[in-house]
Amino acid sequence: MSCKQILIIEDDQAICQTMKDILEIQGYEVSIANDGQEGVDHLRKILPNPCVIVLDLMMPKANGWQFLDLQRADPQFSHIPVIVCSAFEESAKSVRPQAFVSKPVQLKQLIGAVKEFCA
Amino acid sequence: MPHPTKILAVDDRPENLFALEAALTDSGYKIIEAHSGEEALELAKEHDFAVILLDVQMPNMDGFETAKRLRAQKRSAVTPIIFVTALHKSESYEIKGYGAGAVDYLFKPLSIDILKAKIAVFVELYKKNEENLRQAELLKKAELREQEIKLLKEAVATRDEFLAMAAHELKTPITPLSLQIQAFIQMYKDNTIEGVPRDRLIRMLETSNVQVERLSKVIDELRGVVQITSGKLEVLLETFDLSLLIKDVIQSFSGPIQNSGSLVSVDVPEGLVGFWDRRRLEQVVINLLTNALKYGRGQPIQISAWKQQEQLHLQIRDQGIGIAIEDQERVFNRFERAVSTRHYSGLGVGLFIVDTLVRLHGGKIRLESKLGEGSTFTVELPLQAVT
Repeated sequence: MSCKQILIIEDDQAICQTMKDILEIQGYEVSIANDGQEGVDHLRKILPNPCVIVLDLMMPKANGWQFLDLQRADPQFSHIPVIVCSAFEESAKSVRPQAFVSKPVQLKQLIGAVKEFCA
Repeated sequence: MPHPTKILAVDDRPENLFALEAALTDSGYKIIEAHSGEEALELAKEHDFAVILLDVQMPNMDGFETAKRLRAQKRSAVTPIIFVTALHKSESYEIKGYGAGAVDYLFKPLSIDILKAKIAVFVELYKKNEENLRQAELLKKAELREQEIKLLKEAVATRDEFLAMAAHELKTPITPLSLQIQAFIQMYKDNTIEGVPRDRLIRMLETSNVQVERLSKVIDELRGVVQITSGKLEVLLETFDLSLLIKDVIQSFSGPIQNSGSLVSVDVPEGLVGFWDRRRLEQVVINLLTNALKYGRGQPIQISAWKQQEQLHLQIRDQGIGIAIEDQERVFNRFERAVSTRHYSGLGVGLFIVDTLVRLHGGKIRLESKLGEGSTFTVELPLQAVT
């Protein structure tokens, strides 16, 4: 099954837009949410669900940790793999994401991680 | 003790003074001699004495009068006074002496043992008192020091917080900027760039450009703070029309104004000529406008300026989030802001810089604000900068 949908949850507009541009050039379909709450709302409202989520941790309103709690508690979305994208490696790894990309982001690392889940 | 204990001996007859000194010579005290009441009063202003030995019968000012005056002088107000007298013990005489401030009597001819014993008691008291004072002073010093250390620690903590924030502000634009560059390199290497729509490529490069502007803005702010705090702020005064400067700034901000969604109305008549530093005032206008756009919630912003007496008034009013009364003074401090850094980027130094630059012109800035209703900043400048 081929899936092209990606959800980016990140509060910095420039980072969102850049990732979106780059991943769209690669042929993916990218949606953006600016905080954890928007991310959850997006999952609930917009179909089809993404095949992978790129998640920032430090965000206003609902942060990345809060998003993960909500997502993992919901059997409808808990299977969606999450790539945590953060400057804080230890915090990022402590939440046991399916993949981790450190900031500042390396292009190949980001595309490689996404490819792994969007075959 | 580094200073020997001082004793004042007052007698009009040198031979008596000589006898006293001889009696006390090996006791380690420093005997200071006065030959009259007047001289004693002068010496008592200059030294702290453990005890004063005061002859009663002296020409001009007698012992009683001298004692009274010693009591009236601050430095000798509580110094123990021992009257030395050859008069026969008479009760009324003694009472007069005690009334004048004596605490003890010695009768001539002096018994050296009694003299030494009495003086020793007072010296002991004096030393204890001195020690107490010294302890109290040490305690006070320690407290002051503790207070100073607390303030310094707070200052260091504030600075560290500021540095962490500056690092964050410098690092955030790096991710998109570096991603864009890597993407372009990759697209050229793969020869895939031809297939990417021109619009998208231009937008990506524009985003990169915005990141560079973000970075240089943070660096400008850092430099502004360094300049101000290191006192290297020079003023270059010239005659110019502030209304033109305001209009130039607004024109150069057309992009950010559009992005903010705020409608900016300008009520600035021409001919607001004064003698000021152009670059500094440009910074003032930019910082106030930036804040209004940032905290203005997309609501209308009004900029007005007018002359009033010998003052120039510049007012920037927004209808944004406003500042709580308890935060209104704080926002002008260095590294302070009233809202969390996660929701609003920036270093929190903008108003500190504005306040400093306005003061540099001999002017002042006023803030009226209500939480949730918006803020009005009014700058008042003398038409001729008073530096």
